[in-house]
Amino acid sequence: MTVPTVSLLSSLAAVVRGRAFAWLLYFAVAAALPFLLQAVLGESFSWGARTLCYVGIYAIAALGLNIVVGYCGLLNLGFGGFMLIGAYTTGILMKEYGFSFWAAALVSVGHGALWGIILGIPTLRLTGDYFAIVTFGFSQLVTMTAMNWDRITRGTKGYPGIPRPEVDLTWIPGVSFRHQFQITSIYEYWYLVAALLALCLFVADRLLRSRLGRAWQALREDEVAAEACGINAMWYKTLAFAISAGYGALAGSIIATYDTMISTKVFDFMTSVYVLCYVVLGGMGTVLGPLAGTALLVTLVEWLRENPAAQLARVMSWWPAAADWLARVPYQPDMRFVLYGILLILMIRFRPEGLLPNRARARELHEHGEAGDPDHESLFELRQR
Amino acid sequence: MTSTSDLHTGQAANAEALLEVCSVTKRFGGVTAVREANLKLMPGKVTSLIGPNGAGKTTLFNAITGCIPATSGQILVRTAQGLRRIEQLRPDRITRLGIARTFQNIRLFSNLTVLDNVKVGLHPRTRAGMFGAILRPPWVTREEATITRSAMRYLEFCGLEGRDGDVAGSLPYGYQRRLEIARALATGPRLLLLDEPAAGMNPAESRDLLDLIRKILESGVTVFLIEHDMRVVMNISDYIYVLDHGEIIAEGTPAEVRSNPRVIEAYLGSAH
Repeated sequence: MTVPTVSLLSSLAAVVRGRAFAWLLYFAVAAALPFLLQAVLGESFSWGARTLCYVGIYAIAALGLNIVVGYCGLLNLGFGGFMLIGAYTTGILMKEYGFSFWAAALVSVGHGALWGIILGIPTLRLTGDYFAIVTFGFSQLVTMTAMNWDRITRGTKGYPGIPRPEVDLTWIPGVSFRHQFQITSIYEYWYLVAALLALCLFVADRLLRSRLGRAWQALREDEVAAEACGINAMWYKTLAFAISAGYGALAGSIIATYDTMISTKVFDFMTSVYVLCYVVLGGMGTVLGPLAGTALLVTLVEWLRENPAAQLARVMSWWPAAADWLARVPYQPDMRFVLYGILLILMIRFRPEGLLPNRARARELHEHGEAGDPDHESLFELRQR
Repeated sequence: MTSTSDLHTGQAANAEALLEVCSVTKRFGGVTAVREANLKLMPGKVTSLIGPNGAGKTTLFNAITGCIPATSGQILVRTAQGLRRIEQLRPDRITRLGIARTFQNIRLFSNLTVLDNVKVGLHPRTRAGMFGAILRPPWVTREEATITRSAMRYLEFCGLEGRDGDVAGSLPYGYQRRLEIARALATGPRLLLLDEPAAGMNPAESRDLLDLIRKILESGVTVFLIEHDMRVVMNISDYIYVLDHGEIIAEGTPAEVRSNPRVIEAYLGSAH
C-alpha cells in the first residue's frame, strides 16, 4: 500500500473511532430499527417493537445503575425502588395534576435523586455488603409504602389510566406540520425512548470522561488513596447515588406512560436484580456495556416466552427427524428463567468481565503474569537494556 | 550526643516549623500504638522517622494525614493564615492544606492508566463538577488540557515518561513507587510524607530514589520519610526521630542518632 492510502485509511479509522461518528451511527440505527424489524419479523413485528422499547427503557436504568456499581464500585441491590418512585411520581402528576410528560419526568428525576441523597447520606459510610443490604431494605420499604398507601397509589390494585406523552411543537416558530400530537404508536414510542436513551448515553459518557468520573473511579479502586488525593469520598458517592437514582426514576417514568398502568409488582426486588445483571453481564464501568447487556438479556427473556425448541424445529425442516423431535420438547413460558439462569452461569464462568468490558477489568479477571511479564522485571533490569 | 529528654531543643529553636505534632497519642483498644509523640518538621528539610517494625511509625503518619485520627494531642500545620489544627480534619481536607502522602503497601488505582492516576492527584487543584462534566463549557476543556499537561510534567519529573498509557497495576514495582510519588506531588503539597519508599528496592533503585527525593526538595517540598534502608536515611536526612514502642526515644542529626546508645539498643537488643 502506498503512503497516502495508509494515511487516508488511518484518518478514516480515526473518524470511525471518533464520537461524532458513533452518534451518527446511533441515530441512523435508531431511526432504521423499527423498519428493519418490520421487514425481518413480519407478523411478529409488534412483539419485536415492544421488546425494542423495553430494551431502550431498561438500558436507561442500567446506565444509571452502572454509575453507582460500575463507576463507583458500590453494590446497589435496591435500584427498583428508584424506578418505582419515578413511575408513581410521573403517573400521579400526569393523571391527577395534569402535568405534561416532560414536566412530570423532570420532577420524577428530581424526586428520585432526592431519595438517592436521603438514602445515601446515612448509608454511604457503610462498606461493601452492609451497604448492599441497606439498599435492599430501602427498595422493600419503597415497595411496601407504595403497596399500602392506598389513598395516593391505590395500593395493590395498581395505578391505571396514565396518559400518553404529548409532543407540543407550537412554541417553535415556523413548524407547520403536526404541531401537537400524542405519542401512541409503537414507532413514536421507540423514537421517544431512543431520544431519551441518547441523552442518557451522552451524559453517562461525559461523566465518565471527566474530573468527576476520575474521582469516582479512584474511589472504586482505593478509597483511602482517593481521599489522600483530596477527594471528598462522601460527597462524590452521594452525587453518584443521586445521579444514578435520577436515571432510575426517568426509566420508571417512561415505563409509567408506556404501560399506562403501573403496579408495585413491576418494580419488585427481581427488577433490581435484572438491571444489575444487565450491568454486570454487559460490562461494568463502560458506557456501552450496560446497553449491550440490556439488549441481549431483555431480548432473550422476551424471545424465550415461546418454546425455543419449537422455533428451532421450524428452521430444521431439512432434517425432518430432528425437527419432529424438537417440536415435541415440552415447554412452559416460565421455563425461560431456567434457561436464563443457565446463561448467567455460563457468562460468569467464561466471560466474567461482561460483553463489552473495559480493558483494565478484563485484565484483572483473567490472570496474567507469564514469563517475561514486566511485573517481574525490576527497574534496574529495565535500565540495563 | 543529644539528650532525648529535651524534645524540642534539638532543632534550631527560632526557625518556624511547617508541621508540629504535640503530644499525640493513638490507642487501638488497649494497645497504645503511639504515646505522647512530639515532633517538628522544618520547611525545606528532610526529616526521617525510623524505628523497629511495629514501633508506630505508620500510625503516626496515619494520624497526621487523618486516615486514622489520633486519640489525643494536637497536630498543627503552618498555613498562610497562621497555625491551623488538623487532627480533627478529614483526610481530603488535610490533603488540600498541602500535606500529601504515599503508602507503605503501594495504593495505586491499579486498573486506571498511569496518566489517570496522576490526573486524580490533580483533583484538589481543579474544580469542574457535574454540570461542567456534562455541558463541558470552554473553561472545562481548558482545565482538562491543563490537567493532562501538568500530569505529564509530573510523570516526567518522576522518571515515568513514555509510561502514561500503561495500566498502573501492570507497572514494575519500582515504577509503581515512583507513580505513587508523582500522584502525591500532583496534589500540590508543601509537605510530602513518604512511607518506606525504598522498601523492596535494589541498591541501584534506591540510589535513583535518593536522586528523586533531592529533586523534590529542590522544588520546594518538605519531606517527611519513614525508611528502613539506613543507606537512604543516613544519606539524605537533615534530622531523624527514632520511634520505639510508640515513643520517641531519640532525635538528632544522622551522626547523633547513629551513635545514640538507646537507638542501638532498640535496634539490636540490650545485649549489645
